[in-house]
Amino acid sequence: MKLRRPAPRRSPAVRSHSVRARKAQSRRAQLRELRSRMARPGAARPGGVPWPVVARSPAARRLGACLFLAVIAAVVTGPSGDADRPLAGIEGSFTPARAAGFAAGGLALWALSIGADRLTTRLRSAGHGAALGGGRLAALGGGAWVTPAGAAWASFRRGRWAAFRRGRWSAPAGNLALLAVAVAVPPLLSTAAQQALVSEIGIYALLALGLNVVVGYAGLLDLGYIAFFAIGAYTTAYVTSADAMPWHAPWQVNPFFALPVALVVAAVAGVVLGGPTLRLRGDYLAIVTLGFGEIVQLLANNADGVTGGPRGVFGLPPLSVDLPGVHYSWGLRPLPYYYLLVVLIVLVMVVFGRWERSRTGRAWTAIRQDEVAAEATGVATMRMKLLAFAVGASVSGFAGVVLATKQFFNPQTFGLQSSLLVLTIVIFGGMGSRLGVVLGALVLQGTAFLLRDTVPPADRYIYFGAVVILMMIFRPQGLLPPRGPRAPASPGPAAAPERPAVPTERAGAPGPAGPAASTEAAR
Amino acid sequence: MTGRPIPGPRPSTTLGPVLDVRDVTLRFGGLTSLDGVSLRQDRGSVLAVIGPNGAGKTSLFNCLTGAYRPQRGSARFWPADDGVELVGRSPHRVARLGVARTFQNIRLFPEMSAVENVQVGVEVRARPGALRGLLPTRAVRREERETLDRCHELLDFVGLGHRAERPAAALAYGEQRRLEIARALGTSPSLLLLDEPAAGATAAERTDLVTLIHAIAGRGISVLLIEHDIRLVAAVARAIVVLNFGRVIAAGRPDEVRADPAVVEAYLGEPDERRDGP
Amino acid sequence: MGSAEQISQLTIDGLMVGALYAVIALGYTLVYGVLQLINFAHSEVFMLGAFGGLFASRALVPAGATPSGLTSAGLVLFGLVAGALAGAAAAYALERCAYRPLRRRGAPRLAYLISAIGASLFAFNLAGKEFGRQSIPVPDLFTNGTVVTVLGAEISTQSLVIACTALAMLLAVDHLVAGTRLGQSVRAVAQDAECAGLMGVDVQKVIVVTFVLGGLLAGAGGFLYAMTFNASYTMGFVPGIKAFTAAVLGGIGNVRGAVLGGLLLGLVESFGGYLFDASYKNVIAFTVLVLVLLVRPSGLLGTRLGRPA
Repeated sequence: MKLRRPAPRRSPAVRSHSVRARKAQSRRAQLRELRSRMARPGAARPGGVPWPVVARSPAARRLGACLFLAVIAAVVTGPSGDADRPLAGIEGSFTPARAAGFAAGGLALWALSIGADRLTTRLRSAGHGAALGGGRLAALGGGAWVTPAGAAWASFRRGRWAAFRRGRWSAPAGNLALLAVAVAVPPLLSTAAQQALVSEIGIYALLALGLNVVVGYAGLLDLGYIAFFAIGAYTTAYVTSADAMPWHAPWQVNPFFALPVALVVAAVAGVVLGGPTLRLRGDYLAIVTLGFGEIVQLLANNADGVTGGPRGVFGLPPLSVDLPGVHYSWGLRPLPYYYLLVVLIVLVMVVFGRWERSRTGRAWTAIRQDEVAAEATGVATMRMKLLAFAVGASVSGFAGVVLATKQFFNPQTFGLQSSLLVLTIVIFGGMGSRLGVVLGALVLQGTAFLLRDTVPPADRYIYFGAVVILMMIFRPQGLLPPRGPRAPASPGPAAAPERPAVPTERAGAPGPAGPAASTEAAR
Repeated sequence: MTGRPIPGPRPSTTLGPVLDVRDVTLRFGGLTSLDGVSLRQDRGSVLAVIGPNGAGKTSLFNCLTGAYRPQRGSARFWPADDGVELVGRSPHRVARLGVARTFQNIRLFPEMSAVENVQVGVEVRARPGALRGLLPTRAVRREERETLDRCHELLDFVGLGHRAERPAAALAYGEQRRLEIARALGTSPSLLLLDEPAAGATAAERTDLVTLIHAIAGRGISVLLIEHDIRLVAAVARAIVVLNFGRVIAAGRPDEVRADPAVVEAYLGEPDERRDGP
Repeated sequence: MGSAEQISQLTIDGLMVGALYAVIALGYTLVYGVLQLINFAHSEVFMLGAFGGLFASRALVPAGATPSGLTSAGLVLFGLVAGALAGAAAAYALERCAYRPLRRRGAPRLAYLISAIGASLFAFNLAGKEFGRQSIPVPDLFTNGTVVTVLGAEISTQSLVIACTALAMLLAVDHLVAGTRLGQSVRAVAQDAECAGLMGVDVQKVIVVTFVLGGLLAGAGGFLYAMTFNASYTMGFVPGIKAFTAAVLGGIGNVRGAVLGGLLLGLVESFGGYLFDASYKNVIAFTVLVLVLLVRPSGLLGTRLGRPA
């Protein structure tokens, strides 16, 4: 429609172009032409003082950005202030030594980024255009909108990874190796580290796997996700203990039976929340779920008669097995809980891996990428979104059971910051990537644990916030992105036949062979 | 195009209408987008809806597919011998009844491969149960294999067999249009709504498109088409409905419609660029 | 229900808080108007503005002293300006760091939301680190007392200051958007950014101006809010959600709608808090939000910034 609107003083060249070329392209060309036309008189405005050319050059801009980053980093890592001397922290951040150090760091970063760009340009001009083109497509396929340098790097990495993962045996072998490390290493660690592995890494990895279904697969931003964690934990308290809570269920069960109960209760809560709200647009959904999380926390805090209020819940029986001949209690040590978490995480990863490649997973992806088109193609979008909510919620409920049997908790445990922390882990690890979010939990929370003496726990969230922004700008696909459709133009010996013998390959597919099962055909 | 038969809907056993739109009226606030539109399409036929921009063509599609809910009117659709009402149903229900559509501004799932795009459509017809895919039982695997086979057949049918594994976003513009058609065909429709399928197409692509539409109709799928290119319309459609300002101003065979003074007048004052195209 | 005095007191209180919500809501609405995005970090702009005003006024007022007369007026004005400038600086930094890089890369909507959430997490925790984690009162800038009694409701000096300032700012913004050249470009971008760009509007500049304008308002509003409720690093969250509710209630993207929504929400909260319990005020506000989004997502006055107000 707009194509036909008479544009002011359109040149004949532009017009003939618009007739011949395709609609979208010609439109873009016209926009460019017009925009440059509008820009020219503005630039020559007599009264305007032109910016110095140097200050506007890309290199200068980038220098400014790098120095800005250095200043921010100096303040963030500097000493704290307080209400009486609010600027003390900032002053303390810029002692001569610190200032010099961070300035040098900023300059180094700048030099590095400029160097990387030069390298990219040289690579391109040296006839690696094809490879770069492939990288672009790969980046496009992976949903990346990265800089050319990033694209080149992504193509390199993706190429390596894809080659590694395509191998029939390397993927299961890699997963088994990871699992072996996860099983063998923790007993060698200190008790504090084991404790962190359970309550800071393991539980959050499980939470992140659940949120990954909602955010990563279905593309729904749920900021009240932690509420389901709370629901799982409080449900456990109600059904496993007769005296921890002001109110309890008429019967008490072994904590293991709390798992299915919490799963069902959390899933129902997910459906109850999702039912009315999932019709809303993405950002509205985010804020409504935020409100929901807040309400659940408020209720847990204020409704003393039901939840025990702010003093929290403790004294729940630990997990135990009481079968004829087998008696085992998880007790109070962290290690048994760690192994339980490993089992749960692997189980969830395997199930979701299968699911993600089933038609349910495809329907979620379709909804994420274009909801209108998915609906028009016959996908019951509302039902699928509810399913994602319920599945995410039930995994969160699982995590709640582990938390409740393991340790003390109170309403503070389920604050907004915890929701945002889970989101940060998912973003950092890679939305839609199971192994990614688990590694994300390990790396983020593990770093926080290792730096616990340097960085006070309350300050962690500053870094988490920064991580989220930086990831969204520089690596939106996350640490370990999910595999998209195979990059088609990748040169190399492994060039696929035009149409792979899909049926046979499918028949030979190993099924749920772990996080990175090598069913290339499914992708 | 291969000669391979597409696994289409049940072949039309009966003659008679596939779609009967009566008196559909759609208003947005004070603006009347459709004003008592009625039309009727025979089973297995190709019907074209033409009209100047803003005439309400896409609005009509949106009413038929459940995206908009008209204030008045009905749209009866016969997937088989029994007719059903389309107005008031949600889009995915309409799609499951057997009305598939494409979009004027292509809407694919950009990061999914071509074959996955089609798969989404095909799987709409799969057996229900979200948990079914979890266990790789023999039956599930057979189902998945059949689904993939059908997807590849459909891609071959629209001439994209060699592009199956590419991400949709990496396909050329014309290929994307054809992929959208393949995805729509995947839902096994009885009626296919095409919204300006030739927009931005080259001359060669237009020729291919004519062949493709004939092939689709040849499989017993009725096609309702919005298009500006009169030549293309004349080449594929037996009947044309002309909309202007939300009303049907003419209907009939292409040559009749072209001679209709009301149509000529409607198009005067807004010369169609595309008509002097290829 | 209570006596007539109670009713009028609740009304006055509700309107006062509502005026503050309206001031913050304008920031959401303006940014939404031009970008079609909810600025999740707006609540932190509000918080930083409050700290700006707080520290500026504390630097001038000696401990324990309570100024009066013209000095008071000058100090209030100074605090407002400082808060507004701090808010504007925060909003500019936010646009520069969390939004513009994504816009340049053509990121999807979800990315902006996530990035803004990251910015919010970053900003309020950094504020907690630098300014301490307890709540801090604003020094007394004037002798607070009952100025006038309307229908039995007592209006304090503080309420009067807040109401007058809020009113002045709302009128100024309404004039700015409806009656100036700058406002015209803002409305043009809100209606069709691409087309506005073609017509010679510097879209980038308009976006920055919008953020800064929202930051000025939120910063000044933050200072006013802190005069009553003290300042703390987490102070932004709840008023932020409420202001967003107000913006949606009036019709997001619509300047006068935000004002109407703010006042209405203030009243609902005030009366609701009286009827149920003051601790459920937040729950009431969230419920209003959910109901509005479900029943009438376009709000009371419709959702376009561009339409003639």
